[in-house]
Amino acid sequence: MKTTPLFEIHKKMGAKFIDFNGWQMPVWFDDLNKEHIKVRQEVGIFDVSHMGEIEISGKDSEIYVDYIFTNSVLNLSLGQARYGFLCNRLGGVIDDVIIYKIDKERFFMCVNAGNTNKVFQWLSDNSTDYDVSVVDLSEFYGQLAIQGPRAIDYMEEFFSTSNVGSIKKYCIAPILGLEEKYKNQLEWGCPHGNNFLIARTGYTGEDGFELFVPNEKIIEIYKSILKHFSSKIQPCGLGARDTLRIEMGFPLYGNELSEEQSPVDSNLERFIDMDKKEFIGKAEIKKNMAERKVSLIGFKMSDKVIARSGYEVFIGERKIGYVTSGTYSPILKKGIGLAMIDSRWSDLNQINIRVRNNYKEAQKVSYPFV
Amino acid sequence: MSEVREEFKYTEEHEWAIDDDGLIKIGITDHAQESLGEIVFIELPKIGIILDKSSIFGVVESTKSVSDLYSPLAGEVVEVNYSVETEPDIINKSPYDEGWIIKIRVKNIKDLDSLLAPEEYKKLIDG
Repeated sequence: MKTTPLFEIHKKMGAKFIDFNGWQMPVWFDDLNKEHIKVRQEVGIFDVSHMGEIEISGKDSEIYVDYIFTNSVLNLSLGQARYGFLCNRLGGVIDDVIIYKIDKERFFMCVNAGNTNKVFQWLSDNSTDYDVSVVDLSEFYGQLAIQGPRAIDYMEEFFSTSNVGSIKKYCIAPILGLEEKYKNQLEWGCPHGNNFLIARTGYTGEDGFELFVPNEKIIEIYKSILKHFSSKIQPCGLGARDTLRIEMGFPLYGNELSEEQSPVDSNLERFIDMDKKEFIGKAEIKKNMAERKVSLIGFKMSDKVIARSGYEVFIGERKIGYVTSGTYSPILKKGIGLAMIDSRWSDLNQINIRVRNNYKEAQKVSYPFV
Repeated sequence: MSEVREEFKYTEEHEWAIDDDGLIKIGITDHAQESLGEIVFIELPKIGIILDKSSIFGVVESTKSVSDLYSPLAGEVVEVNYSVETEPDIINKSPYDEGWIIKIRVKNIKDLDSLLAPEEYKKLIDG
Protein backbone atom coordinates (compact mmCIF):
# COMPACT_ATOMS: atom_id res chain seq x y z
CA MET A 1 0.00 0.00 0.00
CA LYS A 2 1.20 3.52 -0.75
CA THR A 3 2.01 5.96 2.03
CA THR A 4 2.75 9.68 2.08
CA PRO A 5 6.03 11.09 3.47
CA LEU A 6 4.15 11.95 6.69
CA PHE A 7 3.22 8.32 7.44
CA GLU A 8 5.92 7.75 10.08
CA ILE A 9 5.17 11.03 11.88
CA HIS A 10 1.48 10.19 11.91
CA LYS A 11 2.20 6.75 13.33
CA LYS A 12 4.13 8.38 16.16
CA MET A 13 1.25 10.81 16.71
CA GLY A 14 -1.01 7.79 17.29
CA ALA A 15 -3.12 8.08 14.14
CA LYS A 16 -5.51 5.30 13.15
CA PHE A 17 -5.12 4.40 9.49
CA ILE A 18 -7.44 3.25 6.72
CA ASP A 19 -6.91 2.11 3.17
CA PHE A 20 -8.17 4.85 0.91
CA ASN A 21 -7.85 3.99 -2.79
CA GLY A 22 -4.63 2.08 -2.18
CA TRP A 23 -3.20 4.69 0.20
CA GLN A 24 -2.67 4.09 3.87
CA MET A 25 -3.94 7.36 5.34
CA PRO A 26 -4.84 8.63 8.83
CA VAL A 27 -8.60 8.29 9.38
CA TRP A 28 -8.42 10.08 12.73
CA PHE A 29 -5.85 10.89 15.37
CA ASP A 30 -7.65 10.93 18.66
CA ASP A 31 -11.29 11.76 18.10
CA LEU A 32 -12.96 12.31 14.74
CA ASN A 33 -15.77 14.50 16.10
CA LYS A 34 -13.31 16.76 17.90
CA GLU A 35 -11.28 17.16 14.70
CA HIS A 36 -14.45 18.00 12.78
CA ILE A 37 -15.59 20.65 15.25
CA LYS A 38 -12.11 22.19 15.44
CA VAL A 39 -12.21 22.75 11.66
CA ARG A 40 -15.67 24.35 11.86
CA GLN A 41 -14.64 26.62 14.73
CA GLU A 42 -10.89 27.25 14.46
CA VAL A 43 -8.42 25.44 12.25
CA GLY A 44 -7.31 21.93 11.33
CA ILE A 45 -4.52 20.53 9.18
CA PHE A 46 -4.87 17.54 6.84
CA ASP A 47 -2.27 15.55 4.95
CA VAL A 48 -3.76 15.18 1.49
CA SER A 49 -0.56 14.20 -0.28
CA HIS A 50 -2.35 11.25 -1.85
CA MET A 51 -4.13 13.67 -4.19
CA GLY A 52 -2.69 13.91 -7.69
CA GLU A 53 -1.34 16.97 -9.47
CA ILE A 54 -1.16 17.27 -13.22
CA GLU A 55 0.24 20.16 -15.23
CA ILE A 56 -0.83 21.20 -18.68
CA SER A 57 1.42 23.62 -20.52
CA GLY A 58 2.03 24.82 -24.03
CA LYS A 59 0.64 27.16 -26.64
CA ASP A 60 -2.80 25.49 -26.85
CA SER A 61 -3.27 24.98 -23.07
CA GLU A 62 -6.29 27.19 -22.75
CA ILE A 63 -8.32 25.82 -25.65
CA TYR A 64 -7.31 22.28 -24.71
CA VAL A 65 -8.44 22.66 -21.08
CA ASP A 66 -11.63 24.29 -22.33
CA TYR A 67 -12.26 21.18 -24.45
CA ILE A 68 -11.65 18.54 -21.78
CA PHE A 69 -13.33 20.35 -18.83
CA THR A 70 -17.09 20.94 -18.29
CA ASN A 71 -16.76 24.35 -16.67
CA SER A 72 -15.71 27.59 -18.32
CA VAL A 73 -12.00 28.32 -18.52
CA LEU A 74 -11.56 31.12 -21.06
CA ASN A 75 -12.74 33.77 -18.60
CA LEU A 76 -10.34 32.80 -15.79
CA SER A 77 -7.85 35.40 -14.67
CA LEU A 78 -4.28 34.51 -13.79
CA GLY A 79 -4.14 32.57 -10.53
CA GLN A 80 -7.86 31.84 -10.54
CA ALA A 81 -9.24 28.35 -9.95
CA ARG A 82 -12.39 26.53 -11.03
CA TYR A 83 -14.10 23.30 -10.03
CA GLY A 84 -15.65 21.03 -12.64
CA PHE A 85 -15.58 17.65 -14.33
CA LEU A 86 -13.65 15.70 -16.87
CA CYS A 87 -16.30 13.66 -18.69
CA ASN A 88 -16.17 10.82 -21.15
CA ARG A 89 -18.09 10.91 -24.42
CA LEU A 90 -21.13 9.41 -22.74
CA GLY A 91 -21.18 12.22 -20.18
CA GLY A 92 -19.91 9.98 -17.33
CA VAL A 93 -17.39 11.49 -14.95
CA ILE A 94 -13.72 10.53 -15.36
CA ASP A 95 -12.91 12.72 -12.37
CA ASP A 96 -13.97 15.87 -10.54
CA VAL A 97 -11.08 18.31 -10.37
CA ILE A 98 -9.99 21.83 -9.54
CA ILE A 99 -8.16 23.57 -12.35
CA TYR A 100 -5.85 26.48 -11.52
CA LYS A 101 -4.71 28.92 -14.18
CA ILE A 102 -1.06 29.55 -13.35
CA ASP A 103 -0.36 31.64 -16.43
CA LYS A 104 -1.68 32.03 -19.93
CA GLU A 105 -0.04 28.86 -21.18
CA ARG A 106 -0.01 26.83 -18.00
CA PHE A 107 -2.75 25.11 -15.98
CA PHE A 108 -2.44 23.07 -12.84
CA MET A 109 -4.98 20.39 -12.00
CA CYS A 110 -5.63 18.74 -8.64
CA VAL A 111 -7.16 15.28 -9.16
CA ASN A 112 -8.42 12.47 -6.93
CA ALA A 113 -5.82 10.01 -5.65
CA GLY A 114 -7.53 6.92 -7.02
CA ASN A 115 -8.00 8.52 -10.45
CA THR A 116 -4.58 10.06 -11.02
CA ASN A 117 -3.22 7.46 -13.46
CA LYS A 118 -6.50 7.18 -15.31
CA VAL A 119 -6.82 10.97 -15.65
CA PHE A 120 -3.24 11.37 -16.82
CA GLN A 121 -3.74 8.69 -19.48
CA TRP A 122 -7.05 10.17 -20.58
CA LEU A 123 -5.63 13.71 -20.77
CA SER A 124 -2.69 12.46 -22.82
CA ASP A 125 -4.94 10.47 -25.18
CA ASN A 126 -7.11 13.53 -25.81
CA SER A 127 -4.22 15.93 -26.31
CA THR A 128 -2.92 14.68 -29.66
CA ASP A 129 -4.54 17.48 -31.70
CA TYR A 130 -3.22 20.20 -29.40
CA ASP A 131 0.17 21.78 -28.87
CA VAL A 132 0.31 20.95 -25.15
CA SER A 133 2.38 18.91 -22.80
CA VAL A 134 0.68 16.97 -20.01
CA VAL A 135 2.91 16.12 -17.04
CA ASP A 136 2.01 14.10 -13.96
CA LEU A 137 3.61 15.89 -10.98
CA SER A 138 2.00 13.71 -8.31
CA GLU A 139 5.31 12.14 -7.31
CA PHE A 140 6.81 15.58 -6.89
CA TYR A 141 4.10 17.37 -4.91
CA GLY A 142 2.78 16.58 -1.47
CA GLN A 143 -0.25 18.49 -0.24
CA LEU A 144 -1.43 19.94 3.06
CA ALA A 145 -4.90 21.37 3.63
CA ILE A 146 -5.22 23.99 6.36
CA GLN A 147 -8.92 24.61 6.90
CA GLY A 148 -11.11 26.57 9.25
CA PRO A 149 -12.34 30.11 9.91
CA ARG A 150 -8.97 31.05 11.43
CA ALA A 151 -6.83 29.47 8.68
CA ILE A 152 -6.25 32.90 7.15
CA ASP A 153 -4.76 34.29 10.39
CA TYR A 154 -2.59 31.22 10.87
CA MET A 155 -1.24 31.23 7.33
CA GLU A 156 -0.59 34.97 7.35
CA GLU A 157 1.37 34.52 10.55
CA PHE A 158 3.27 31.46 9.35
CA PHE A 159 4.14 32.78 5.87
CA SER A 160 4.68 36.34 7.03
CA THR A 161 6.85 37.22 4.03
CA SER A 162 4.59 35.74 1.37
CA ASN A 163 1.52 37.98 1.55
CA VAL A 164 -0.93 35.06 1.59
CA GLY A 165 -3.67 37.31 3.00
CA SER A 166 -4.00 38.93 -0.41
CA ILE A 167 -4.92 35.64 -2.11
CA LYS A 168 -8.60 35.76 -2.95
CA LYS A 169 -10.91 32.80 -2.49
CA TYR A 170 -10.53 30.18 -5.20
CA CYS A 171 -7.15 31.55 -6.29
CA ILE A 172 -3.58 30.24 -6.20
CA ALA A 173 -0.17 31.90 -5.79
CA PRO A 174 3.46 30.89 -5.33
CA ILE A 175 4.75 30.80 -1.74
CA LEU A 176 7.61 33.23 -2.27
CA GLY A 177 9.01 32.80 1.24
CA LEU A 178 9.50 29.07 0.74
CA GLU A 179 10.84 29.43 -2.81
CA GLU A 180 13.46 31.75 -1.38
CA LYS A 181 14.20 29.58 1.66
CA TYR A 182 14.72 26.38 -0.31
CA LYS A 183 16.43 28.01 -3.30
CA ASN A 184 19.05 25.58 -4.72
CA GLN A 185 18.19 23.05 -2.03
CA LEU A 186 15.79 20.86 -3.95
CA GLU A 187 17.02 17.60 -5.36
CA TRP A 188 14.16 17.66 -7.88
CA GLY A 189 12.88 20.99 -9.09
CA CYS A 190 9.52 21.40 -10.71
CA PRO A 191 9.99 21.92 -14.47
CA HIS A 192 8.26 25.30 -14.38
CA GLY A 193 9.82 26.58 -11.16
CA ASN A 194 6.69 26.84 -8.99
CA ASN A 195 7.83 24.39 -6.35
CA PHE A 196 5.69 25.87 -3.58
CA LEU A 197 2.09 26.91 -4.23
CA ILE A 198 -0.72 28.00 -1.96
CA ALA A 199 -4.36 27.99 -3.02
CA ARG A 200 -7.33 29.35 -1.13
CA THR A 201 -9.39 26.24 -1.81
CA GLY A 202 -10.56 23.22 0.15
CA TYR A 203 -13.10 20.47 0.69
CA THR A 204 -14.55 21.36 4.08
CA GLY A 205 -16.82 24.31 3.37
CA GLU A 206 -14.68 26.52 5.58
CA ASP A 207 -12.26 29.18 4.44
CA GLY A 208 -8.80 27.69 4.14
CA PHE A 209 -5.78 26.86 2.08
CA GLU A 210 -4.20 23.98 0.23
CA LEU A 211 -0.42 23.96 0.05
CA PHE A 212 1.33 22.17 -2.79
CA VAL A 213 4.90 21.57 -1.68
CA PRO A 214 7.64 19.13 -2.77
CA ASN A 215 7.39 15.70 -1.12
CA GLU A 216 11.07 15.98 -0.22
CA LYS A 217 10.37 19.05 1.97
CA ILE A 218 6.90 18.31 3.28
CA ILE A 219 8.06 16.63 6.51
CA GLU A 220 10.08 19.71 7.41
CA ILE A 221 7.22 22.09 6.55
CA TYR A 222 4.59 20.01 8.36
CA LYS A 223 6.72 19.74 11.48
CA SER A 224 7.43 23.45 11.54
CA ILE A 225 3.71 24.31 11.22
CA LEU A 226 2.82 21.91 14.06
CA LYS A 227 5.64 23.26 16.18
CA HIS A 228 4.79 26.90 15.52
CA PHE A 229 1.12 26.55 16.49
CA SER A 230 1.48 23.58 18.89
CA SER A 231 -1.94 22.48 20.18
CA LYS A 232 -3.72 25.41 18.50
CA ILE A 233 -3.77 23.60 15.15
CA GLN A 234 -5.64 20.28 15.06
CA PRO A 235 -4.21 17.43 12.95
CA CYS A 236 -7.17 15.83 11.17
CA GLY A 237 -7.69 12.59 9.31
CA LEU A 238 -9.73 11.57 6.29
CA GLY A 239 -12.64 10.73 8.63
CA ALA A 240 -13.22 14.40 9.44
CA ARG A 241 -12.54 15.33 5.81
CA ASP A 242 -15.44 13.07 4.85
CA THR A 243 -17.90 14.23 7.53
CA LEU A 244 -17.05 17.88 6.79
CA ARG A 245 -17.69 17.46 3.07
CA ILE A 246 -20.94 15.56 3.67
CA GLU A 247 -22.22 18.37 5.91
CA MET A 248 -21.61 20.70 2.97
CA GLY A 249 -23.21 18.30 0.48
CA PHE A 250 -20.01 18.17 -1.57
CA PRO A 251 -19.78 15.13 -3.86
CA LEU A 252 -17.11 12.45 -3.49
CA TYR A 253 -15.87 10.56 -6.51
CA GLY A 254 -16.97 6.94 -6.18
CA ASN A 255 -20.03 7.93 -4.11
CA GLU A 256 -21.90 10.67 -5.97
CA LEU A 257 -19.80 10.59 -9.14
CA SER A 258 -18.75 7.77 -11.44
CA GLU A 259 -17.96 7.00 -15.07
CA GLU A 260 -21.43 5.52 -15.45
CA GLN A 261 -23.30 8.64 -14.37
CA SER A 262 -23.60 12.18 -15.54
CA PRO A 263 -22.80 14.99 -13.08
CA VAL A 264 -26.34 16.19 -13.83
CA ASP A 265 -27.60 13.16 -11.85
CA SER A 266 -25.99 14.70 -8.76
CA ASN A 267 -27.50 18.15 -9.49
CA LEU A 268 -24.09 19.61 -10.29
CA GLU A 269 -25.03 21.46 -13.46
CA ARG A 270 -23.74 24.74 -12.04
CA PHE A 271 -20.26 23.37 -12.81
CA ILE A 272 -21.12 22.69 -16.43
CA ASP A 273 -21.00 25.54 -18.92
CA MET A 274 -23.47 24.60 -21.63
CA ASP A 275 -22.75 27.89 -23.42
CA LYS A 276 -19.35 26.58 -24.39
CA LYS A 277 -19.11 25.61 -28.03
CA GLU A 278 -17.79 22.16 -27.25
CA PHE A 279 -16.39 19.97 -24.52
CA ILE A 280 -16.08 16.20 -24.28
CA GLY A 281 -19.42 14.69 -23.27
CA LYS A 282 -21.49 17.82 -23.98
CA ALA A 283 -24.03 16.17 -26.31
CA GLU A 284 -24.86 13.40 -23.82
CA ILE A 285 -24.97 15.79 -20.87
CA LYS A 286 -27.48 17.90 -22.80
CA LYS A 287 -29.68 14.80 -23.09
CA ASN A 288 -29.28 14.05 -19.36
CA MET A 289 -30.41 17.58 -18.57
CA ALA A 290 -33.57 17.09 -20.63
CA GLU A 291 -34.34 13.63 -19.22
CA ARG A 292 -33.39 14.02 -15.52
CA LYS A 293 -34.10 10.46 -14.50
CA VAL A 294 -32.55 10.70 -11.06
CA SER A 295 -31.91 13.44 -8.58
CA LEU A 296 -29.64 13.90 -5.57
CA ILE A 297 -31.40 14.89 -2.35
CA GLY A 298 -30.23 15.67 1.15
CA PHE A 299 -31.83 13.94 4.11
CA LYS A 300 -31.84 14.07 7.88
CA MET A 301 -32.77 11.00 9.95
CA SER A 302 -35.70 11.44 12.36
CA ASP A 303 -34.41 8.81 14.81
CA LYS A 304 -31.03 8.27 16.43
CA VAL A 305 -29.68 6.24 13.54
CA ILE A 306 -27.17 6.67 10.74
CA ALA A 307 -27.95 5.80 7.14
CA ARG A 308 -24.75 4.93 5.31
CA SER A 309 -23.79 4.69 1.66
CA GLY A 310 -25.53 1.85 -0.14
CA TYR A 311 -28.60 1.78 2.12
CA GLU A 312 -31.83 1.66 0.10
CA VAL A 313 -34.42 4.44 -0.02
CA PHE A 314 -38.16 3.71 -0.09
CA ILE A 315 -41.54 5.36 -0.39
CA GLY A 316 -43.84 2.85 1.26
CA GLU A 317 -42.76 -0.48 -0.17
CA ARG A 318 -41.39 0.96 -3.36
CA LYS A 319 -37.64 1.29 -3.70
CA ILE A 320 -36.82 4.66 -5.22
CA GLY A 321 -33.05 4.97 -4.77
CA TYR A 322 -30.08 4.57 -2.50
CA VAL A 323 -27.89 6.53 -0.12
CA THR A 324 -24.69 7.76 -1.78
CA SER A 325 -23.07 9.23 1.36
CA GLY A 326 -24.24 9.12 4.94
CA THR A 327 -22.76 9.97 8.29
CA TYR A 328 -23.36 11.25 11.77
CA SER A 329 -23.12 15.03 11.69
CA PRO A 330 -20.95 16.18 14.61
CA ILE A 331 -22.54 19.65 14.33
CA LEU A 332 -26.22 18.62 14.07
CA LYS A 333 -25.73 15.48 16.19
CA LYS A 334 -27.95 13.58 13.78
CA GLY A 335 -27.66 11.16 10.90
CA ILE A 336 -27.50 13.07 7.61
CA GLY A 337 -26.67 12.17 4.06
CA LEU A 338 -27.19 12.37 0.33
CA ALA A 339 -29.33 9.97 -1.67
CA MET A 340 -29.81 9.45 -5.37
CA ILE A 341 -33.47 8.85 -6.07
CA ASP A 342 -35.85 8.48 -8.98
CA SER A 343 -36.59 12.11 -9.83
CA ARG A 344 -40.35 11.47 -10.04
CA TRP A 345 -40.24 11.33 -6.24
CA SER A 346 -37.92 14.25 -5.62
CA ASP A 347 -40.72 16.58 -4.46
CA LEU A 348 -41.62 14.43 -1.47
CA ASN A 349 -40.62 15.71 1.94
CA GLN A 350 -40.30 12.38 3.65
CA ILE A 351 -38.60 9.13 2.71
CA ASN A 352 -37.80 5.86 4.42
CA ILE A 353 -34.36 4.35 4.51
CA ARG A 354 -33.79 0.68 5.20
CA VAL A 355 -31.37 0.42 8.10
CA ARG A 356 -30.68 -3.20 9.09
CA ASN A 357 -34.12 -4.37 7.93
CA ASN A 358 -35.96 -1.54 9.67
CA TYR A 359 -37.54 1.23 7.65
CA LYS A 360 -36.39 4.45 9.27
CA GLU A 361 -37.98 7.81 8.59
CA ALA A 362 -35.89 10.62 7.12
CA GLN A 363 -36.81 14.19 6.20
CA LYS A 364 -35.72 15.60 2.90
CA VAL A 365 -33.66 18.73 3.59
CA SER A 366 -31.64 21.06 1.43
CA TYR A 367 -27.86 21.09 1.70
CA PRO A 368 -25.37 22.41 2.87
CA PHE A 369 -26.74 20.85 6.05
CA VAL A 370 -24.98 23.33 8.35
CA MET B 1 -2.32 -0.66 24.27
CA SER B 2 -5.90 -1.66 24.89
CA GLU B 3 -6.79 -3.01 28.30
CA VAL B 4 -7.73 -6.70 28.64
CA ARG B 5 -9.03 -7.53 32.11
CA GLU B 6 -7.96 -10.75 33.76
CA GLU B 7 -11.27 -11.59 35.41
CA PHE B 8 -13.34 -11.26 32.19
CA LYS B 9 -14.10 -13.72 29.37
CA TYR B 10 -14.11 -12.63 25.71
CA THR B 11 -15.46 -13.36 22.23
CA GLU B 12 -13.87 -13.11 18.80
CA GLU B 13 -16.38 -10.32 18.07
CA HIS B 14 -14.83 -8.24 20.87
CA GLU B 15 -17.50 -8.56 23.53
CA TRP B 16 -16.66 -9.30 27.14
CA ALA B 17 -18.73 -11.30 29.64
CA ILE B 18 -18.51 -11.79 33.39
CA ASP B 19 -20.49 -13.54 36.11
CA ASP B 20 -22.47 -10.85 37.94
CA ASP B 21 -24.27 -12.48 40.87
CA GLY B 22 -25.47 -15.35 38.74
CA LEU B 23 -26.29 -13.22 35.68
CA ILE B 24 -23.94 -12.65 32.75
CA LYS B 25 -22.98 -9.01 32.31
CA ILE B 26 -21.95 -8.12 28.74
CA GLY B 27 -20.18 -5.21 27.09
CA ILE B 28 -17.62 -4.44 24.39
CA THR B 29 -13.88 -4.47 24.93
CA ASP B 30 -11.51 -1.57 25.20
CA HIS B 31 -10.00 -2.68 21.90
CA ALA B 32 -13.46 -2.57 20.26
CA GLN B 33 -14.29 0.92 21.49
CA GLU B 34 -10.86 2.15 20.40
CA SER B 35 -11.24 0.86 16.85
CA LEU B 36 -14.76 2.27 16.58
CA GLY B 37 -13.93 5.75 17.80
CA GLU B 38 -16.44 7.86 19.69
CA ILE B 39 -19.73 5.98 19.85
CA VAL B 40 -22.64 8.27 18.95
CA PHE B 41 -25.65 5.94 18.87
CA ILE B 42 -26.50 2.56 20.31
CA GLU B 43 -29.46 0.26 19.69
CA LEU B 44 -30.36 -1.84 22.72
CA PRO B 45 -32.54 -4.96 23.00
CA LYS B 46 -35.82 -5.10 24.93
CA ILE B 47 -35.89 -6.75 28.33
CA GLY B 48 -37.31 -10.26 28.09
CA ILE B 49 -35.93 -11.09 24.66
CA ILE B 50 -34.37 -14.53 24.36
CA LEU B 51 -30.99 -14.49 22.64
CA ASP B 52 -29.24 -17.38 20.91
CA LYS B 53 -25.51 -17.70 21.27
CA SER B 54 -23.86 -15.34 18.73
CA SER B 55 -27.15 -13.68 17.80
CA ILE B 56 -27.20 -9.93 17.25
CA PHE B 57 -28.63 -8.09 20.27
CA GLY B 58 -27.80 -4.52 19.36
CA VAL B 59 -25.76 -2.12 17.28
CA VAL B 60 -23.16 0.51 18.12
CA GLU B 61 -22.48 3.33 15.71
CA SER B 62 -19.57 5.71 15.65
CA THR B 63 -19.31 8.55 13.17
CA LYS B 64 -17.23 6.44 10.82
CA SER B 65 -18.51 2.91 11.32
CA VAL B 66 -21.25 0.62 12.51
CA SER B 67 -20.82 -2.60 14.44
CA ASP B 68 -23.25 -5.33 15.48
CA LEU B 69 -23.26 -6.62 19.04
CA TYR B 70 -23.27 -10.41 19.38
CA SER B 71 -24.45 -12.25 22.43
CA PRO B 72 -21.58 -14.34 23.83
CA LEU B 73 -24.04 -16.94 25.17
CA ALA B 74 -27.69 -18.00 24.87
CA GLY B 75 -29.99 -16.47 27.45
CA GLU B 76 -32.76 -14.04 28.35
CA VAL B 77 -32.14 -10.30 28.53
CA VAL B 78 -33.01 -9.28 32.09
CA GLU B 79 -31.31 -5.91 32.43
CA VAL B 80 -30.33 -3.16 30.00
CA ASN B 81 -28.00 -0.27 30.75
CA TYR B 82 -30.14 2.61 29.49
CA SER B 83 -27.55 5.20 30.48
CA VAL B 84 -25.40 4.13 27.49
CA GLU B 85 -28.36 4.97 25.26
CA THR B 86 -28.47 8.58 26.42
CA GLU B 87 -24.70 8.90 26.71
CA PRO B 88 -23.12 6.34 24.36
CA ASP B 89 -19.61 7.66 24.90
CA ILE B 90 -19.69 6.13 28.39
CA ILE B 91 -18.70 2.97 26.50
CA ASN B 92 -15.58 4.77 25.22
CA LYS B 93 -14.73 6.15 28.63
CA SER B 94 -15.44 3.05 30.68
CA PRO B 95 -15.93 -0.05 28.51
CA TYR B 96 -15.56 -2.55 31.40
CA ASP B 97 -17.41 -0.70 34.16
CA GLU B 98 -20.05 2.00 33.59
CA GLY B 99 -20.21 1.10 29.89
CA TRP B 100 -21.68 -2.39 30.35
CA ILE B 101 -24.56 -2.99 27.94
CA ILE B 102 -26.86 -5.86 29.02
CA LYS B 103 -27.25 -8.61 31.57
CA ILE B 104 -28.62 -11.99 30.54
CA ARG B 105 -29.82 -15.05 32.47
CA VAL B 106 -28.27 -18.26 31.19
CA LYS B 107 -29.19 -21.90 31.90
CA ASN B 108 -25.75 -22.79 33.09
CA ILE B 109 -23.31 -20.17 34.32
CA LYS B 110 -20.51 -22.66 33.59
CA ASP B 111 -21.03 -21.90 29.86
CA LEU B 112 -18.84 -18.87 30.49
CA ASP B 113 -15.85 -21.21 30.43
CA SER B 114 -16.44 -21.86 26.73
CA LEU B 115 -15.48 -18.24 25.92
CA LEU B 116 -11.98 -16.89 25.25
CA ALA B 117 -9.67 -16.49 28.22
CA PRO B 118 -7.90 -13.09 28.57
CA GLU B 119 -4.67 -14.59 27.21
CA GLU B 120 -6.44 -15.94 24.14
CA TYR B 121 -8.18 -12.63 23.52
CA LYS B 122 -4.90 -10.73 23.87
CA LYS B 123 -3.40 -12.99 21.20
CA LEU B 124 -6.36 -12.30 18.94
CA ILE B 125 -6.02 -8.52 19.09
CA ASP B 126 -2.24 -8.48 18.93
CA GLY B 127 -2.19 -10.93 16.03
